[in-house]
Parts: sequence; structure tokens; C-alpha cells
Amino acid sequence: MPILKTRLHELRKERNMQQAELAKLVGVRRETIGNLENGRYNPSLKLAMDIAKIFNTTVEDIFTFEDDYDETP
Amino acid sequence: MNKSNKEPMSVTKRYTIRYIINGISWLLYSIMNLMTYKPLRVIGAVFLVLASICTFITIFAKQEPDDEMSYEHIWAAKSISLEIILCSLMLVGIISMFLPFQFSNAYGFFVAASQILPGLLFLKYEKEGC
Repeated sequence: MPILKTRLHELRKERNMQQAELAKLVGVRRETIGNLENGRYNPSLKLAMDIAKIFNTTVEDIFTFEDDYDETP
Repeated sequence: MNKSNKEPMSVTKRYTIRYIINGISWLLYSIMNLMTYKPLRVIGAVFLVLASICTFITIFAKQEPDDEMSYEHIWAAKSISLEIILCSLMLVGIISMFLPFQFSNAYGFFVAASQILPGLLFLKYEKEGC
């Protein structure tokens, strides 16, 4: 099953933004941002687009799916 | 502190009171209800009052609104809990056919389980993901 990878933490730190600030801007709880950053929650398309809009970028730039199969021989 | 400046009740705290504390009250009521000694049954009724108060607090207190993650987690928790409780009901139904056991005495335990399980699963999902 593919794993959601996110650049959210990196983008937030670049802008010196707290989790709570971002959460307020997109209308979710701070815990939701924390779980998104840790890859424990897959956001809805609306939330992903709202976050992308805040960082003035695209959804694909922030969220990517990677296969979790082991590539070592 | 001024009442209007009070922090709203967090979603985690709300579901803990609404489901876990409420469920524990039901569990204690059910245990007391098994006793034949009347004062213990009265204490059991007090636990039911406590369960009702817990429910009202979570409805009327100033609270943090749910978001998409909390909705997803509570619905997943309720869905799995329902499956577990239905399976348990079937098992207890079968057992009660072969043992001298009053099925009606167990209803409170099922109500307790239907409250405690979603609460605990919600906390697990919030911590570890769904």
C-alpha cells in the first residue's frame, strides 16, 4: 500500500509557522496538522488544496505517494 | 477566570467524557444492578445519573468543533465497535441457551461496551492514525 509523504513540516518551518497557526488558517485542529506531518492521516482533497493555497504551491508539491515495498534484494 | 475567556473543551476531552466516562458509569451501574442488596442498586442509579450528566456536559459545554480527522476517527471507531458488540451479543445469546443465565441482566454491560469501545478506539486512532 502506498505511503503518503509530505513536505508540510518543511514548508511550515520555512515560513516560521506554528502548527496551530496553520490549523486555524485551514480550519482544522492542531492535532490534524500533526498527524498529517507524521503521515498518520490522509487529508481530503479540499484540505490538501487549502494547505497548498496557503503555501502558494500545488498539492503534488506537498503530498506524494510512495510505494512501501522493500527494494533491497 | 472569566467564563467567556474559558478555553473550549477539546475534541479528545469531549469524546473521553462522552464515551469513556459515560461507559464506565454504565459498567458500574451494571455491576451494582447484579447485587440483590438494595442500597447498592441505589448507588448504581447514581452512576446512571452521572452518565447522564456526562452526556449533557458534552452537548452544552463550550467546545472545539470537530474536523475531518476527528469525524473519520470517531466513525471508524463506532463502526468497529458495532461489529464487536454484535458478535458479542450473538455469543452471549448462544451461551444463555445452555446456561442458567438471564440475558436481560447483561444489557447494561453491552451499553457500557458500546460507549467505552468507541472512546478507546478514538483515542488510539488520534494517537496512531486510523
